[in-house]
Amino acid sequence: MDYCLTTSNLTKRYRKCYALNGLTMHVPCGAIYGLIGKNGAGKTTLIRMICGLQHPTNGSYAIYGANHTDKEIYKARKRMGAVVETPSVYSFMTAEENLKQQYILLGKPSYGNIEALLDLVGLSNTGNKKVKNFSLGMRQRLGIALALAGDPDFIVLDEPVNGLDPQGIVEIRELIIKLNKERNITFMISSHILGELSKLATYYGFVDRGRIIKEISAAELEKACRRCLVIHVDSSERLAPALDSANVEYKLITDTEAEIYSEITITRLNKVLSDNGITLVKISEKDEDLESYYINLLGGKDNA
Amino acid sequence: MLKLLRSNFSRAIKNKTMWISLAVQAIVMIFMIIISVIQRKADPNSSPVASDEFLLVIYSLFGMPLQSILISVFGCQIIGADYANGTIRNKLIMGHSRSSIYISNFVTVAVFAILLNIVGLLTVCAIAMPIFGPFKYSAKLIAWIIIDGTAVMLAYAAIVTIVSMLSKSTTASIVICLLTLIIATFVFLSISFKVNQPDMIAETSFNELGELVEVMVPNPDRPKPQLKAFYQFCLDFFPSGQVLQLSKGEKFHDWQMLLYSLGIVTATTAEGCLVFRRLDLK
Repeated sequence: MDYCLTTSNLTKRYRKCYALNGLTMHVPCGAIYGLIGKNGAGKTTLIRMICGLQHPTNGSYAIYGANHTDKEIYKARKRMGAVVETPSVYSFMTAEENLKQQYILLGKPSYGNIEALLDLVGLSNTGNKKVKNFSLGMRQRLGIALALAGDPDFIVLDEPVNGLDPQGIVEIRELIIKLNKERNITFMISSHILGELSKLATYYGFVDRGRIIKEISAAELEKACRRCLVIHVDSSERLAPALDSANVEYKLITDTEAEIYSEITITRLNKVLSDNGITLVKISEKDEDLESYYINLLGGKDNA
Repeated sequence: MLKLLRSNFSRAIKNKTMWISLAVQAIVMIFMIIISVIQRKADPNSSPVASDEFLLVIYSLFGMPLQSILISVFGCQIIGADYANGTIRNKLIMGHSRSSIYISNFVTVAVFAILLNIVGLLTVCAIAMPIFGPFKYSAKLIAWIIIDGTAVMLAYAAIVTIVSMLSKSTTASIVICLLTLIIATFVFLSISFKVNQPDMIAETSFNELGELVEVMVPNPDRPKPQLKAFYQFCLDFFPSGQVLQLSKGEKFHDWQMLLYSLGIVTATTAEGCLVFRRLDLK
């Protein structure tokens, strides 16, 4: 698998406090990578670091194979766009003037597709309105437009839907999915809105206390979060043969506990178990989503 | 680097502070010329004024601090805007090196400093020379005044750049630059006063006949030769000291002052680049 971003044992220390503590992650090319973590987990520090705003205390990172200490990193960064925290825009300029500035910095020969870019992010009718009079949502859109100006292959968005209205959230989501599918742009998105992230991410990285505690693809997560019936029985020896005989997909959690993934009625399940001399003690439905997966993951770690 | 410069200049052109500053420089020069014309008309016996005086006004104790203030405000504003709006992040994210960002910012402020000088000189040439006639100083002296005066302003531009790039706040940068300017002006005025103390002063006393006579005695306020040499070096080396010497229009250490100013530019820019490369940004 090709990775557009890899980090190895990345560490950032501010005096005695570790913002990143040996963070190792892999962002596959073409993915929408959701970066999930509590406040202060190290998401923004990580983003600042890969954007070249801060230097690692230890460890390394590579963008498209270029290590952060190599001169090649400057070339690799040209393939990147980012919106870090608040959108970086000149407040005394209009949206079009901001894009022109970005085009100059990128060395683009003409301002040809500025209109199309503004249209893409829904800012085509802002005219001479200065950015200082924009709403937060409009600034976010402009920030994304600036990130898109260099035709990047990899875009980093830090809380992109912050301050957006519901309509805006849907539009930004659709835009990200569209750019990912049509232009094969890789996204790394940090967000607290897990429900929103789960609608677009194809890969997840869970950050806690400056480390990646789990990297998982959306498909794997879906498997891990599958709806299932959790059964508790009295007998440990005959449970597996009984479930095998019923031809159901299951996973033994403990000797007396199992998760049943197949569609099966409770009446039939109870019959299968009682036919094998097993008493069904307790039954419950488990419907885990990204949020509960995240809480379980971090909660479990906290309790460890 | 060229892309960064193009971006900075396109922002500067839209910056009202730049145009107001250039206008202030021209208006101040015109105002000084008008005052001289009025004075000459009011008192025909007054000593004749030459265009040279207006040239010196540009590099005087009035003109240079004014230019320094204008450079501080412009420089801190154009660099501070990148921090205030977070747009410095865009430059780094798209792969511009920190050194090129720093140097392009210095060049932008330096070009503004040169523009201020040009506006001042053009005003003198266009308005003062037709009224008061050509310069009376030698071409060499005029050239050195202009070269050293511009070099001082470049040194000041380098100082403004390092302060703005490292303090990250427009207001803090302006306050630091202006305070430094005011304090330095007073410090070097006092140094200049000490250096210019005469070796001997006249003292009145009674002679053997009881008559009041004036005798020349060594000046007690005169600094010792080593200290005087050190003071003179300070006056030659630091921009505020150079301004004091240039404003007199008398003999000064021309090429040494140029070298010192260029040395300040080089050292300040190199140090600024090194520190900025290590700086963590948000």
